Amino acid sequence: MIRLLRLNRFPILKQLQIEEALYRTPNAGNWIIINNGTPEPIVIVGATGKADKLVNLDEVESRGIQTMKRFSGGGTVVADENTLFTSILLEFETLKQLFPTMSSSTPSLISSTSSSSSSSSSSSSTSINVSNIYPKDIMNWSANSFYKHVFHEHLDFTLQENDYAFGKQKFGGNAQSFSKHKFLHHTSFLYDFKDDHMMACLKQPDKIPEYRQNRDHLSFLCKLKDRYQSKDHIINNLLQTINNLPTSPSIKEVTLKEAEQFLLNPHPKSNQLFDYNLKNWKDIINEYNPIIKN
Amino acid sequence: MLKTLRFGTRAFNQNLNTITRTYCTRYTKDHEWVNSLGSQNYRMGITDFAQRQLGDIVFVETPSVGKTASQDDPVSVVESVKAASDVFMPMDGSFTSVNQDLEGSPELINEDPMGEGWIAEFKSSKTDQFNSLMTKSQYDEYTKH
Repeated sequence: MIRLLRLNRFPILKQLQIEEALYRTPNAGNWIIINNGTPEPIVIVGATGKADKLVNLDEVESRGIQTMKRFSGGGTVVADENTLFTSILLEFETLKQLFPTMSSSTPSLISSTSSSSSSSSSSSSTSINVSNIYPKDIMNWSANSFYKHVFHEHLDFTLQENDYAFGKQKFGGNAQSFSKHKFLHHTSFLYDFKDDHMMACLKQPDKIPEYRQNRDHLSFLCKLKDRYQSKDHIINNLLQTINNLPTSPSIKEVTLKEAEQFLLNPHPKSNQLFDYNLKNWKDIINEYNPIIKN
Repeated sequence: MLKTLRFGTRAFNQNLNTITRTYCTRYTKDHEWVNSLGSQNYRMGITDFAQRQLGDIVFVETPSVGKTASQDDPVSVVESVKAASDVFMPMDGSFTSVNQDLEGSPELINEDPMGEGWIAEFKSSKTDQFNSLMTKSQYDEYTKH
């Protein structure tokens, strides 16, 4: 069974707290989460969290925008109500049942992979052993077997290294977490974004994908709204793809309350907020992680 | 003659290191390696196979010194460009030191995963757990499939 949680303008900070709880709780099951935007703009950096290297902190602070560090790996994004978030949390055993033979590369879809990828050299689809699944395998799988169907109207949909793109323009950034029995793959899709926020808030990262070719943010990124009239269209495509998964697993739509139950399980908490005064990361204290008075 | 002696000594030490690694290093199914240092002390890291699969390592979250963990507990996180991957405790034990060099140079794991890219050292009385881990030849066979 896969639990489907649909959210609308739910704060991404709280969504990531829930996802961390689901990821860190043994036997939490399989989840797909779709969130149609976050109410306030927020900068999200990956687990490495070198805020000063990735973010123009003074600019972000002056705009009243929070900066958070998420528990998963990956790059930096400025998210707002026009960002569509999707998260896939699957046990490896479930992935094996759904896709017993995964292709590690599909030349028509994969434009390039990093030089460290050992599976990209094959020129035709190669079945891989799903007992040894690695981040690049999940990245390839997500593009070939899932999001290819979501964006089926656009033949130039492709996986550019670790990004979803139309041609050479990125519209979706990914982050992953890998554990013994499960993985989390989550994506921020840029339906629209404020050009000014992107340029002003984010620095050019030290490590950039080859295909970016030193382009600035606005030249490198594209907006889904230029291809889809509404986010609902994309969400409907997502739901259709989920319902058409191979072997037809049961999909159970659940409530936010059911997901929030997992927050009660003791688990490591790595999501943090940047304190502009202390110039350092601090633990998130909110209704999901209250201060407990002894 | 002195040069010959020095060369011979260096070659001997290199061979000794290889032999030591061969017999005192075991491997887990999650691609950690464990080296027995003697007196119930062990050193661990991730294998060359694992670092190649992960790609460029950009950050390592090491365990805390003094922390106790059971076999298979997630104790460290290795972050590559897009993924944060758990590293698991190979045996029951408690951590005695961590590799401080990884904070400034996480790429050591890519460059020398079995040597300077070590992650942590721990103390463990569970020799049986160590002996039940894979030998090099078993691990090489495991990673072929």
